[in-house]
Amino acid sequence: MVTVFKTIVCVFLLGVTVTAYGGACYGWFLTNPIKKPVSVREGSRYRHTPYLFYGRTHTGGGYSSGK
Amino acid sequence: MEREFRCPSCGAENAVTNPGILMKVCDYCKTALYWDKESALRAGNKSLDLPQSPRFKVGAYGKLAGKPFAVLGRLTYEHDSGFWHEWFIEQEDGSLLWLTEDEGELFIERPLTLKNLPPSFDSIKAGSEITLDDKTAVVEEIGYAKCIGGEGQIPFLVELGDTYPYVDGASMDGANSFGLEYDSQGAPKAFWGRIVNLKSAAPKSLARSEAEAKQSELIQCVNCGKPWEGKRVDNTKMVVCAACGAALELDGAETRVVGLNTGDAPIFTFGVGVKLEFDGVVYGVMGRMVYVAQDEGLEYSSREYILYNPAAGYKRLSEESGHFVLSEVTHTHFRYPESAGRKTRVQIGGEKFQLFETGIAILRWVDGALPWRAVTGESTQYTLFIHPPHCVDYEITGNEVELFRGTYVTNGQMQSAAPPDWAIPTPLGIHPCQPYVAAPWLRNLWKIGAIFLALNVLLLIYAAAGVEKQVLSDTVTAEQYKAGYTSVPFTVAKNGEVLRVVGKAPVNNSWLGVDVGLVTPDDKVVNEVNHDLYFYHGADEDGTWNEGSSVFSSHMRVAKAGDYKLLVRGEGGSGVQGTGPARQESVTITLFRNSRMPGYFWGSILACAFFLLLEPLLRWRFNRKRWRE
Repeated sequence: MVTVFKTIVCVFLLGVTVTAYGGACYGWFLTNPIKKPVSVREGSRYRHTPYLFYGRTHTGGGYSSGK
Repeated sequence: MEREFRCPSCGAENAVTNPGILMKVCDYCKTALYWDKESALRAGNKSLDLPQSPRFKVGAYGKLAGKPFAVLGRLTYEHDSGFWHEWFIEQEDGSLLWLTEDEGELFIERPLTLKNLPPSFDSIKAGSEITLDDKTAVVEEIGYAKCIGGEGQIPFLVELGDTYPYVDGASMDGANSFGLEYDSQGAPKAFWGRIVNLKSAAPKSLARSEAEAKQSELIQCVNCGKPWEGKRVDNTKMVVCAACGAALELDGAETRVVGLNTGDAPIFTFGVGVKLEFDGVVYGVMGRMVYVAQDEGLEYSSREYILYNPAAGYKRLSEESGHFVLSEVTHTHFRYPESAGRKTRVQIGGEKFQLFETGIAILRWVDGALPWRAVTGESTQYTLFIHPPHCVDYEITGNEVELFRGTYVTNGQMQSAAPPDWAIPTPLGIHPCQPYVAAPWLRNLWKIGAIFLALNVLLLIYAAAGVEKQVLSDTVTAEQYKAGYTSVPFTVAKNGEVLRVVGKAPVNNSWLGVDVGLVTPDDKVVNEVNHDLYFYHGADEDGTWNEGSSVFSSHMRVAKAGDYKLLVRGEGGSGVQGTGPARQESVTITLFRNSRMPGYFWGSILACAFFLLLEPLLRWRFNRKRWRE
């Protein structure tokens, strides 16, 4: 039972190490907002929504997401 | 040269074999015989019947440290709480040695000629340091001893029946003992000796034997008249009547009541006579005691079992809330630190102990047979020092200082020590000298955590040390990003490569929203990052303020290797609710390849550290609980 527990711990720590390595060096967890390529003419999915800081605001715009 | 003479009391033939002998107890009538320079014999008092020793007998031969010896004689002294024997042994070369046998302990002593007079008897206190010429020792016991008898050949003059003030103790390191006898005439006699380690001294054949009952001599309770039917050994000083609870002191020729148990008998885990085996030595439970100590208005009781083995001597087994500690007398002293408080560190015999508690314990119950006098109601001032699994109990009772060195006995060890299927109570809480024992699944877990922690730190260093390569750095004007700026093409060499896009704009009380798209040669956007750069500052009633940042940094993963270019679009502005004028601030976009994100390792390092520190944390929590309880 003790051996099983320690094996589980080893596997777990190996898993988190590999995960951290993949995330750090291969960008495994970087998300891509564009699920499939979008034509430049279609524009970005982003909208620069108004920000309000001490009463100051800005609005923005950008590409609309492709379908 | 042997010298023979007749006893003036009974006429029996007696012989003296050693020229150093100054008195003799008649082998037949037990009368003390003295002679002066003219060899005139004088008869003194008669010796009482003396308790036998499990180790020595007058006339017997033996070996001490490999050297043969013969036992010539002995004297037995009685004091307030017990008695001791002094054995006089003749070595092969004719020299004489003293062997003092006290409560199962052995001391080899020789007379010590002092250049300076020792302190007067009245000025000495138990526990204080004493200087005997160049030797420093600690006083353990002060009292009056009565010589109740002797046998055989004795190398100095003692009047049987006389009482002497005495002081004894040990050197600081516990290796040597000393004794002082304050005669009514002349300077005190001093003795200095060596404390014998019974473990090394005990013959193997005896080490496994158990206490044997002394069958002769009927003891009758002087309180209720019933006979004592329990076990006792030759050096038993006191027995407690099982019928009425009277403590009967076996004082030389008479038996007298010195105490009485009252109330209901406490429940003990072990009865008198039960055999317990520790380290291959079988001990018998000779006596039992219950001590009660008070702390912050609460009463705490502990039970003590007096264990005895003829070869190994006495041990004490303490029981408290299902925890057991096996102790024995030690003479290793220490200097009690001034202003000592809880957790004060004290060096005792090369080990560092911590003061755990100090208090007064009252003896509430005693039964069985004991080698000293223990009377219910008597109080003992104790100080407990711990170094788990060991502890040192420093006790002051009346004019006696005693130190006991104990070792925690686990429940499993106790089960093994007790007779088969004996019910050992389950320990409750944490005992002061209970060692922390990690659960099997926790043992060496820290090693696994440490190995993976080291691996993760190395990988973190590797990831952090990676050198990014700049792919491009373009300054994009407002006109360009409004219209959509396209960079020069660049190549991503491998699938899954991580790029980093850094944008910097001189925003000043303004904002700039920037979209950076990764575009294929056929004008398809395959990845995109978006940021708002803003930097505002000013002053209000609270002083100056600023917020935002003029720099952004984002990563993007390129799934497929190939040629790409960046498309930059943006818009900016200022003022409240977008009412300010648009700004014409340019933005510098820099693209790096071979980028890494070492921050991901902090999570894995945390997981490794958890397993590394789990056992030490539980150990810390255990110790904290020990000191809180």
